[in-house]
Amino acid sequence: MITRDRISGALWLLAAGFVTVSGVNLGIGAYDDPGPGFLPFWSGLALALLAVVLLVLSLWDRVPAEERRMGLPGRTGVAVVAALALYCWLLPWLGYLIATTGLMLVLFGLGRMRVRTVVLGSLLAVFLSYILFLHVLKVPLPRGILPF
Amino acid sequence: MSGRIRFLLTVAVVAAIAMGFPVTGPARAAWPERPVTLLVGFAPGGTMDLSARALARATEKVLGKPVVVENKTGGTGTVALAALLAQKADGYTLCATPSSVLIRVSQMQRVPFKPLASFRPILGFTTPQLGIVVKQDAPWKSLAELVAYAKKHPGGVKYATTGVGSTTHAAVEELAAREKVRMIHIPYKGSIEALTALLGGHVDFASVTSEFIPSVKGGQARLLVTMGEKRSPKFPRVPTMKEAGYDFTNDAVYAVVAPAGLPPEIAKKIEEAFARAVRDREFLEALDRIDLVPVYYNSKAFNEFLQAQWKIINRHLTSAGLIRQAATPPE
Amino acid sequence: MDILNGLLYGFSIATQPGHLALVFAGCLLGTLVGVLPGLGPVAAISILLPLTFHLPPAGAIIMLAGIYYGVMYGGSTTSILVNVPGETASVVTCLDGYQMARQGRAGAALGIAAFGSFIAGTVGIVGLQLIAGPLSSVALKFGPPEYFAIILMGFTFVTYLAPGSSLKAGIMAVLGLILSGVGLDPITSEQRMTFGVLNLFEGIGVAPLAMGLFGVAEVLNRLEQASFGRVLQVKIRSLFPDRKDWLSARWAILRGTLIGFFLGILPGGGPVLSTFISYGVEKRIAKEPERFGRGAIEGVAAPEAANNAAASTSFIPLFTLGIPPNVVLAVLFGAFLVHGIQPGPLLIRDHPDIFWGVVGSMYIGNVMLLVLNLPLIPLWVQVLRIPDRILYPLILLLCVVGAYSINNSVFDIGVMVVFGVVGFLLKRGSYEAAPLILAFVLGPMLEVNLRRSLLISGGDFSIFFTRPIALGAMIVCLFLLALSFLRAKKGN
Repeated sequence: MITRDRISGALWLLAAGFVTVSGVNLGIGAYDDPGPGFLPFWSGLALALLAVVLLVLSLWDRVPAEERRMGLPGRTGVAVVAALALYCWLLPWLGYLIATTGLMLVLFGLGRMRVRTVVLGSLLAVFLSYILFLHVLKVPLPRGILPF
Repeated sequence: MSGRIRFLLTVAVVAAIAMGFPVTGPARAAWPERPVTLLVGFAPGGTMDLSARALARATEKVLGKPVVVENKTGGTGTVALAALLAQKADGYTLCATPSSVLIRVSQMQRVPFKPLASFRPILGFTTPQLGIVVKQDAPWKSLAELVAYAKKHPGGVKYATTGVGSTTHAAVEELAAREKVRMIHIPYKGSIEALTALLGGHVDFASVTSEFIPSVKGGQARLLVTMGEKRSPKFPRVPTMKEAGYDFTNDAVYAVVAPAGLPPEIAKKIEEAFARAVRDREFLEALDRIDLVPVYYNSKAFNEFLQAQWKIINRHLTSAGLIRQAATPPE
Repeated sequence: MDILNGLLYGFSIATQPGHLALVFAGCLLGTLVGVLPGLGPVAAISILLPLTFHLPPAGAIIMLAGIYYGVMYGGSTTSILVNVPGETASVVTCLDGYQMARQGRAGAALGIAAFGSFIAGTVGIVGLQLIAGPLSSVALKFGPPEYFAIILMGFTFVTYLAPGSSLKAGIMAVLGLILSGVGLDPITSEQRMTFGVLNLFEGIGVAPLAMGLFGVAEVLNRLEQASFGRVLQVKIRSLFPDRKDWLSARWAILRGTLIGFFLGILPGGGPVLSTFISYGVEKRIAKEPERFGRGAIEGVAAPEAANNAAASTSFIPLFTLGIPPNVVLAVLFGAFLVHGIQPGPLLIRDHPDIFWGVVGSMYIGNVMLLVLNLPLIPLWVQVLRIPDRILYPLILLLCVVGAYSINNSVFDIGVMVVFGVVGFLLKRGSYEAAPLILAFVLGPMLEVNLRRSLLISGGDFSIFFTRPIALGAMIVCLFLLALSFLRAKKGN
């Protein structure tokens, strides 16, 4: 508990510093003519204040609370995020049908099912979503290298 | 990730490439073979969007292929233009935009394209109606009365516009500079918001586009002046800015542009198609209903218009102290 | 024409077979768009706008209106079932709706959402028909200071929304406010915190942010907790709300309806704001506020009622003043203009067929939606029987296509993924995402109204305390802040 609050509090303080400075750079303006930096400046200060309170409380509060690890995603989580990131990058080039089939193969594949189920499931999901979004809702999905 | 997944992924990628290759070829001259996308940088329901949709329908009739309007809003219309440049210059993606985005907005803020070099103008097809309105129960019956009141009460008159640096704002700036009056500008995010503020009595007058028609016809607001070259046929008794003695006419033209580098034979086809579309009766009726004035600039004329406008607006913006120099280099 | 004759006339128009078919098509399509995350009513209506060019004006407006309130019905479905808000107006529904589903009470949640929507929608139409005129002139009295005060009230409610530490909720709210400032300055168009990235010019999208923080983060979180691949069987306890559910939800529905009814009329207020406020009110007055966020049925009933009431009453300013109070109605405004009709005070006189036809069709549409949605509930509940290893990839697919469909932009998918990871980390640090997203939605309105108020008053802050409506809202804010401070002190 304490560690997590200290780490996140420090992060908020950093973010607050950045926002406040960019507020100043944008121009805070005057009370009778607030500029573009007005809100970033004041909300940056507010965030800094709250972060300091959080940090102080976490230093003060020495009761050994339940100490969970800060917790980064495990291997499956990382694989899912990586697959999604790769998908964003490939989608414009490969087009909806191919890229999404690839994504679904990975996602279903992570569930350790039979290969046949994975492939059929992916194709079905892609096909149905394609029909729904492109033809019923008229969303121009990226064509990519396919002609349709 | 297990080996099986990697294998499947490889298969998918290889299959994709194998399937994809034979069909991608150079853009052929037989334009249009498939639907044409017309990007619009403003929200649906506004005058830019409605006129672009009307134009798209008229062009469909000429081409016999769908012309699909796609709204990409944001950045006062610059997002759509930047999105256009991300597309191939093959004539299948075009963008409908007010000339003011290329001219005014590009000088006020840094935009990721060269306003006078990145695009190939296709045509300019209409010009929006702008006007200054006051509430029906306001004491001023004419622009002159409003100005006289503002002079007597420096800083006491508040007005709404569609945004800082917009054409509607420029009109009032011109008036204020000429008459040397100080008024308080409350910028809103479009004509509808500005009109709402006016009808609620939160500002004294509003400078807006033709979204004022329902309120004026409905008797809640009074139109003092319009900003066209000529009087609006819908409000023949309302004088123009020019007639009221101010050197201001609305200078925004709604236009269609393509990315620069469009093959000339395709450009010619597109221009011919649009030139026929703007004579369509339904299109003209649609413009009339939202009080837009049809104009026609062909590619060359519109290009000259843009070049000239850039210099004029640059002079306006610098002398009004809004900018020191254009935020984006034109070429 | 008096109201009764008008209504009969309206029904005679709305029950013409062609119009009935259009109401049905609008409701069906609205429900579909509502269920799917990403695509919202604005997109749906603008896609269909050109199709309605061929229809007579009354039919066109009837159908487009049907889409709008249909979306409000459908929006709660994915919020409840898989924690992915179907629309911004259904973000709040995730908080307790999803918890109810995890306890096997998805049927009760969906049912109370549908009935609540029906009741609120119908009350909204009665209001539209009876007191349209006087109400909209009151709404116009809301100027920048009043908006600022009311939105500030929304912000103070935000700290009550999430369970857990008020300090952390405050941090999340400020963070949401900061994130909402990314993009071009709403007044001067200068770039703020965009790092020159073009896609950030128009700011971060609400829908990808919400889908990331709720949907993707939830999937990542579940991946960590249950070993992936294990079938997690939720025991489905009820398909429809029982007597006890009704008893606890009936006043919540009523309060939600009232709040939605009034906020819907405000220009710029609309359904979204009403859901936040009604949830905050429910939690505030509940005997055991700690039940909220753990599957309290009032937390589903009130906001769902509020957004439907607001959807109905948001037609009032358009029909009586010619002013669309939110983006959806602005598209409808465009539809009116395309058909050469001026919405406004003369609408009822010049085009009674449209005004009364739409009112009549809204009564019919609400009944249709209830009939359409109730049989679907047992079907929707089956979604929870799908094993995680099949359900999660499908949720992610839905999020990905949904995020793309908003602007046809891959960038939005990226935003969603980034906020999915952020949401996951926040949860690990015991931060709740709800205050962040609510502040994010209200942020731009808060900012422009604060700046406009100060422009109007010449920098004098007393403007917020000298106008009655603003003063009232400010007193509520101070009262709430004092209360939460006292509570925090007592807690220590």
